[in-house]
Amino acid sequence: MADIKSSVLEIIKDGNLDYKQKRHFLASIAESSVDYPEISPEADAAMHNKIICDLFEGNAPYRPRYVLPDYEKALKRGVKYLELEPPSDLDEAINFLSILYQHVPSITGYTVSLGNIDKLLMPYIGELSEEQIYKKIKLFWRYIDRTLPDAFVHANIGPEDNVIARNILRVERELKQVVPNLTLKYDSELTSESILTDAVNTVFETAKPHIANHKMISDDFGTEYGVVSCYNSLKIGGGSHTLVRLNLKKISELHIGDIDTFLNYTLTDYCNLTLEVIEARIRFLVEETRYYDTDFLAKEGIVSLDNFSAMFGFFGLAECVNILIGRKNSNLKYGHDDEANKLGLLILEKMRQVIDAKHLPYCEGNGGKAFLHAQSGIDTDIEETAGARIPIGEEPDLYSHINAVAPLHYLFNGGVSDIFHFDETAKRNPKAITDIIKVSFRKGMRMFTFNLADSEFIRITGYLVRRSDLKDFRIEGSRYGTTQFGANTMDNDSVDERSQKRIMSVENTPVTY
Amino acid sequence: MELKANISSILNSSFIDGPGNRMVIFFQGCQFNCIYCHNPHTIGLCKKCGSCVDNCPTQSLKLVEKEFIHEKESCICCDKCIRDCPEDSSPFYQQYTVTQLINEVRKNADFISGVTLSGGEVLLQADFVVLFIEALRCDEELNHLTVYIDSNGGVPIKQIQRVAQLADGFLIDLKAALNISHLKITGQSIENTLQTIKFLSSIEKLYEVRTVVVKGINDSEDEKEQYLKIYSSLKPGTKIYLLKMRKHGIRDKYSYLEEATDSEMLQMTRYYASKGIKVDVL
Repeated sequence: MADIKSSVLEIIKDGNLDYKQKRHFLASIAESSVDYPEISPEADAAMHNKIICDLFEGNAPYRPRYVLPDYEKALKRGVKYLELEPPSDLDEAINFLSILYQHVPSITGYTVSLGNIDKLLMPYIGELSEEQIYKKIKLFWRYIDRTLPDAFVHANIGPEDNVIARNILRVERELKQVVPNLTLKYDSELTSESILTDAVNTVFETAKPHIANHKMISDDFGTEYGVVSCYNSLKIGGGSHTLVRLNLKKISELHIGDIDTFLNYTLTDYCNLTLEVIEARIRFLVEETRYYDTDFLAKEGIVSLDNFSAMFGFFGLAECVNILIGRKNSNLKYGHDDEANKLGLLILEKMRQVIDAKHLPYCEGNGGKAFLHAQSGIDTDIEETAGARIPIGEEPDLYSHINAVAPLHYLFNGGVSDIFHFDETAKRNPKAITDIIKVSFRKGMRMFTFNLADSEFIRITGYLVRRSDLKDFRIEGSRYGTTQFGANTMDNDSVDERSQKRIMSVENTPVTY
Repeated sequence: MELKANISSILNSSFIDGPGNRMVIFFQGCQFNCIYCHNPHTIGLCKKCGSCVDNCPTQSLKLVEKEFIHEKESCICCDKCIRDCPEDSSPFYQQYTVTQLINEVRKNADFISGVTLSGGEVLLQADFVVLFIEALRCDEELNHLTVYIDSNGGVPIKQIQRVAQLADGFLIDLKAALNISHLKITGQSIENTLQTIKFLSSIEKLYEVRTVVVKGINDSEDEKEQYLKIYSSLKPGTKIYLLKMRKHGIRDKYSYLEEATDSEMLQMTRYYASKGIKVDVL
């Protein structure tokens, strides 16, 4: 209790946190004061040793991690709990969504999903001129950035080209805000070349949107999906109860024996322990918290338990492969050598097999199975590379990079990201980038994310920060350094040198008291 | 004997050599000898005189039966071999048959919009270029790729016409607008290049015209007026670029050359803009 008291006081007196941020951390402390859902001693030990990690979701889940409200349904029917009637024009629709966003729960305190905004708003544009629409979108975008200040708040546009999507891109280029994160769904048969080019030109200015392979993701989910938070693909009207991730580097270090025994015993066992933690958290949320019986979103059918599942994340594949191969006295490397890449694929296929074999309760959103998610890391990952990425600074040439990672993407129904860096010359030739995006999708990539090397925005794992917002940002040290900052792009030390910032990235920049 | 091309290097991906993501093949040898040439080792053809072998400080180059052997492990990449070459050439360029070069393209085919043939002056090897493009067009896996030619335009117009029938577009490096400056920069008359530009523009295959600005040599008021005449005669949509001459990489004997400032470059684009011509600085 004394510990709790001192942590509470520390938060209250922390001048680097604003009022809402303090409230968020105080709530975390309250949650951490109760016992964790019951898990086996083995799973508990794996969590204690940071082999399995629930990404700071808290001890007592009282809301799902990722909620993707069916905003379309809400707009059509209205929301009784919030006394909102169905809107009849664009002003009303934007006002409706602005209110609803404030009531969608998540781990960060801010909704991770703003919906497929163009599709949601197109029915309301009426006879408005493009300039009138532009003005309304611009104000809407400013409202989102100022009231939902978290880099994981994520909007989608596409795959069809339309005036709302175009104006969102235009406003993005003008405002250069960190929030919201943005994804364009791309399908060669539905998306115009021109809006893809517009999106690429927007990335040059603001390092977003991400481009999602609509056809591929639709094959897993149907067309009613959203890309939210940090490249997670989930069902609209549903989401994910939880995201628990497995550290592949750590389990390869613990493993004694050959690669076959790693796959069949060590990996399988830890996958099952991770699934055990996932199941315990789901049961608590559904059966103890009774979230889906009590929250207005569920009661009014804006989300449905039937559309939920859970996410099984992993990170450190690169190190895992290199460690296992290194033990065979080979210096083949993940991302560079076929044999190493094939081992990466083998490990992931085995994981998917173990995950698919486990029936989880309340996961009908994916037929009772968890989604496999290449988790894009958090700032405190020092020695592990995000998900299945090639370590930063070790990436091979562009074509080899795409050829190495594309064959893995079919496995990640829960989402994945590989980040590519281009130099300034790309700005004059966006077609070069659209060429590469289209090729990478043909080769099986699920998402394509890129940055310009000297952009004002920097992508940390999956979210954005402004270069000027970071103190002592050591991009050179991390991109070209050796292993010290191999996992992520941010100097771990600078995480602690906080100053008060309006926008936080709570999900990936955990602050612990 | 099968025709072979002298190839100085191959770039698998470029965003600045035509539309889209392109593979660029640089041909060895050039009829111009530009004072600011940034790759002077691509100008000449090797006569196997062996001076590079003699000059190598680490003895990493050997000439055995008229073939170079390069020991990469001991090479310190000091570039003395190419800097001191009396022919402005290099011991490293290679010969490719059409089939070999097509196979290089095949490796990148998934990723690219097309191939740009550059140099040196690629059209000095026009016979090879014609065979190469024809082979590409006949290849079912590769015939979707476009072929662009990056040339100084200074070869006889007949050579241009032969290749223009087959290629999708041209990027022309216009060294100067007045003959006197052209002579000063390249050692050759401007006539062929102007003829090339006129012809390519008339058949709508001139994708881009660019000029390297050398302070005090091709940036006078008279010169700008002459550029304006040339630019005004081009079909709308032709991209026009200016590049600043940079001293990095040029030969020591031309170290007296001066770089234009950014504001001088900007002033030039404003001048053309005031006359209704869009010119961008690369």
